[in-house]
Amino acid sequence: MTDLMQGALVASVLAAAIRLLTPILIAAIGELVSERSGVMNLGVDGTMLSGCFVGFIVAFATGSAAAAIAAAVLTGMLLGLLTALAVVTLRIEQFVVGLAVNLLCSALTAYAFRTFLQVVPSERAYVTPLAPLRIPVLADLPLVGPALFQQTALTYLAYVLVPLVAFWLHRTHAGLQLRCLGENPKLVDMAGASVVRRRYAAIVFGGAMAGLAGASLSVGSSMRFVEEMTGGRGWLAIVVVVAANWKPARVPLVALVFAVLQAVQIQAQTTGSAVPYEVLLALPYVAALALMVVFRASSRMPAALGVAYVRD
Amino acid sequence: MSTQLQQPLPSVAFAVPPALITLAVIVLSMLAGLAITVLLLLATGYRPADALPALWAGAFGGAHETAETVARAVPLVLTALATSVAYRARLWSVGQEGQLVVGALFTYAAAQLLGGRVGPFAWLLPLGAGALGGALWGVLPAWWKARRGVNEIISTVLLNYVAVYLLTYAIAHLCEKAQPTYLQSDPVPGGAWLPTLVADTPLNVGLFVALGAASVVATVLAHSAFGFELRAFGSNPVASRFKGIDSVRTTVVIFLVSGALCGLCGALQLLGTHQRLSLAVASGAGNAGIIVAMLARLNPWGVLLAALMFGALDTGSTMMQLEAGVPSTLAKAMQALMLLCFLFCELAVRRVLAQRDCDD
Repeated sequence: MTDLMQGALVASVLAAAIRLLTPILIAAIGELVSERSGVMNLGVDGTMLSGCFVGFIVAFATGSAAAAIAAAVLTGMLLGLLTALAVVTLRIEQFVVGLAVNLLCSALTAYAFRTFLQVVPSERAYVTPLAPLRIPVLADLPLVGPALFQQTALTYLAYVLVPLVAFWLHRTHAGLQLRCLGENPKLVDMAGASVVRRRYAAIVFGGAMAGLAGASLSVGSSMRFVEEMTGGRGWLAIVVVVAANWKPARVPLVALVFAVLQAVQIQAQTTGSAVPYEVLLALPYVAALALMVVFRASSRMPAALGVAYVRD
Repeated sequence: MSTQLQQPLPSVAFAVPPALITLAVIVLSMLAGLAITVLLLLATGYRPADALPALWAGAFGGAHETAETVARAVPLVLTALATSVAYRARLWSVGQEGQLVVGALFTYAAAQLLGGRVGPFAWLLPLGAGALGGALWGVLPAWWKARRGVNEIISTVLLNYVAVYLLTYAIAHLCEKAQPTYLQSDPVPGGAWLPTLVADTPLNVGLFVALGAASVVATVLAHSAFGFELRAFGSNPVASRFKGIDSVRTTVVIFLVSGALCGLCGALQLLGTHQRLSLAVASGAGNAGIIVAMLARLNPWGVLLAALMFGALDTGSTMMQLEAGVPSTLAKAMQALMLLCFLFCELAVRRVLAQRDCDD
């Protein structure tokens, strides 16, 4: 293979990887905020799936990508609100709530989509995906230029989201309070700040990001909706948070590992490879397991993660 | 921290039996789930007056329908028992589906190896192999949790995906297939098929396996040292370590048992229902089993009832799709709604009772 062809192959895998990185990165940043506040929201995958579906339906009905994205974010926020009500106010086991949300979203989206297909024939059930925006000059960089700077608006949003959240968490008073909430909520309560309101906000933000991540899957990069479209990306986002050791700056790096693995698999589908297709499909999940086993989960985990706060 | 899956509901001064309160909570959440379903049907433009009777008729309308309902409950009983064992120890495994799939793979291999020739052992041994496969798949997350502190929820979810790709790989590359284009293997030898109980119905000896498993699990949980260890481990792992309960060993054993039950479920599905490997083997019995176990409050006898109800929803939804045009996935939505309603209802009742205890 010539150098030129290899270069083109690398560039194409890289471009696909950045496209696939977007949903995982957005969902992971949302989950990170929620977990730093002490709440493990395991409903990410279901919330993402709902964002996918609602985004698709609204885009189909209105033809407006902005409306679709707004609706997906709103759906995520509502599911976040439901989760917050259950785990913060009612103090139901966080894991059980997350599981219930996942099952509910997976069943409801499948039901609603089939209802939709009874009205709209499947060959017409597609939307116009977001068009890539080319950033002048930067997109002309060799090799990485098109991959990084010829993407949809949602990818650029993901780029700025990470430093914004990192700055907010580590350099603002509200961010300090949120981090404290995950370590020792009693301190926040004693300082006269509301634990409940902050945790609600963190979970709703996480939900909004999961909804946005879902929209980036359906409206952002594909023309269609498919049942179980997330394929476990929400769970990968949770693994990203653990493997990034709850540090926002590390989130893009870990997420990129998964994105590259997925991109390689898609590339291998078109060019063929010696490794069986099923092995490549399983690779992101095996890598996630390896990351979980290698990185000791206990290292920088928020001390109060998963524990409901009761004022005594 | 809320431990609502473990503790009995608080006893009330004027002595309403706790079992009655639990029953009331369950009935209340069923009704709430049903009410939301009706709203959902109306919102999506279907007539509940057509859909719900069709659902009932499809589940219990005749001998054949009832037999189908019972047959569909069998796999749910096993995955729900597996869930009950793990959750009583507060080990939150979500790996039922993956363990079921690996169990089915082991069963297939054993059935092919025996070739259907050794009498009843042609299906008994593959059943055992299935349990073994599920147990082995279950040990991985237990080991990672005990040794490396890996969260078992996340690891079991990831293993489910790996298991399904393993199944796809096995069907595509390892199994005998007459039609290479379809993603399904040839049937296992006839001698390995589970003997049917009633001719022309899907009822087979799997029913007895499920009932047997429920009584064994119920007895072990209520009356054995292991059952006690399990609850002690779940309510306070630190204290149970001082009592001499080895946490690594207990975690591994619980996942072994839970995985074996799921593997057995996969084996029954393969030898009793599908007879061949296909993606239909991973049809969601794992997740449904989790909901069944929670609605039954992790009680093995309650599991039988809840599984029957979910079997009825599965069977009935097919008829509902045919008669009223409502997508059969509504059944799954109803199941998830019931779980959510149950969580909220139980909590509400608990709060009200606790309040009344304070007032007294």
